[in-house]
Amino acid sequence: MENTNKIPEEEIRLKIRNKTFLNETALNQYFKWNALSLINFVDCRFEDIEFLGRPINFCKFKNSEFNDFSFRKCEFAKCTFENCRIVKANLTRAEFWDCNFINCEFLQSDLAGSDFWNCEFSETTFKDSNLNFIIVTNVKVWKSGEWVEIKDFSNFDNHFD
Amino acid sequence: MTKKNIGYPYTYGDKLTPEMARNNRKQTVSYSVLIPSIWWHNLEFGEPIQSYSSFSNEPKTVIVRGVETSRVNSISRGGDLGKSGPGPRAKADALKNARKTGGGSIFVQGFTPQRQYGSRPINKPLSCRNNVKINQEQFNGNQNPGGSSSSMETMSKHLSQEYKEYQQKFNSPPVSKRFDTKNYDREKFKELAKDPKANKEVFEKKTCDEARTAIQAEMEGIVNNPQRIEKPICKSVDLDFKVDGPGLYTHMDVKHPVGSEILRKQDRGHTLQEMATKMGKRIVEQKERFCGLEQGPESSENVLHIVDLAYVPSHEKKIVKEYCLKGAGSSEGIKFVNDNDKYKFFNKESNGKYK
Repeated sequence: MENTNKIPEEEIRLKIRNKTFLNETALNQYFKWNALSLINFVDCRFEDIEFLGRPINFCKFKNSEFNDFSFRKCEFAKCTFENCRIVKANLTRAEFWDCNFINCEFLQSDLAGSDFWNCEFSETTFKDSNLNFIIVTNVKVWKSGEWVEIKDFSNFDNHFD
Repeated sequence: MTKKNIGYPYTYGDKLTPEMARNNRKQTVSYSVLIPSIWWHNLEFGEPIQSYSSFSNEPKTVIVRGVETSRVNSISRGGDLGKSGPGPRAKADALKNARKTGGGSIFVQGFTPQRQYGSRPINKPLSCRNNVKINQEQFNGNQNPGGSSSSMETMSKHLSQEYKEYQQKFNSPPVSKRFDTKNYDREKFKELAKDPKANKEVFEKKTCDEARTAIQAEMEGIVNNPQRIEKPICKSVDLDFKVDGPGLYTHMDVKHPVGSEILRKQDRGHTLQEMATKMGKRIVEQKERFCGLEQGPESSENVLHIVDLAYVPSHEKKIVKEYCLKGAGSSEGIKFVNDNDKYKFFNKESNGKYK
């Protein structure tokens, strides 16, 4: 299985490992030009953080945990979420462009009114989450050994058992 | 010829004449009466006589309204920087005048007002302080219902540190310079700058931007009475504002595209054209999204999208507009604000020239 989305050179990325972010200030230092870009977060924990409408570009979140946080109206572009647990997240009206979700778990999260464009999901589950009014365009799910394109976004959650 | 010693200082050993004694008495009286009176005066009016606004970056020329002429004329401050006693120039003048006139208190002479009200100052005062006073009512302004004489730009910066930093970093002219923002309701702005769906009640850059656009659209007659959608309706109908027309419009959503320079700096990874096209496509989809819900729009015709080009430089506005409409496929239900070249965009890379 190969990701079709291109990611910039690894060398220019900032790598943050094993760090806990407990408020906006802790994470705010990594925002440049009001955007969070080109950062690899590995084994990180994000808690009680609220950002509204900020661009998050070319970021990788691996083995990370998100708890009780809000990235409402944020624009995620070319981001990868791998082995992440996302609990009680407010992702309402968030936009995901060219993003990949690998082995992620969304729990009690609100994604109502969010947009997914050119995104790929594999081994990702949504439990007790609000997936109303989601718009998907060219979104693929890895099912039974192949990529299945989701065309009807009205039953988006049916694809994630 | 006898030498007459009536000047000051007298030489030690001079014979005390009645004239000299009379001068000494005069001088003692002058010191004992006038110096305490000067100190009393300073204590009484020691407070700065001008109060500034709570917004430190508000231009002083804007907030200066009334001139308290009586006090200004009654006090000669000697041109010092910030204190109420005599400054170096006042003291030098006093010394100089004392030598010229001879006798009397040098201090008193130095504080005698030498300029009449209304006359042109010959010696420009050293002080940068204006001898004027404004009060809170004057600052708030009484021409606006919400009571604001400060621009929406100032208000936004005051509410949101994030907004302030963003404006400063991008080195653009204040958004208020691109359109008139004086005549607005401050309380309404504050209400509109809150996101009803956010977990915490904070003012963020995005919500301040949305409020600015909503107010501007109202001022330009594009929409009537924009209001945030209250809880719990906003939980389902997640559009930015509800409006009272004109026409069929009941709801409104706001978009803020940026210029290519900002896209590059933020590492967005797409071009100006891509951004604008995607925005247009998204607008069409969003119009349909919340239709038919309780207290939501009945159809897509009820949803107006305002695309605010405030963050797009002049030379790129046309491109963004064109590609946005191209993505949407139609200009139906889409209005642009700040889409003209009236206000020039300034950036660092243009070497101090407006683009």
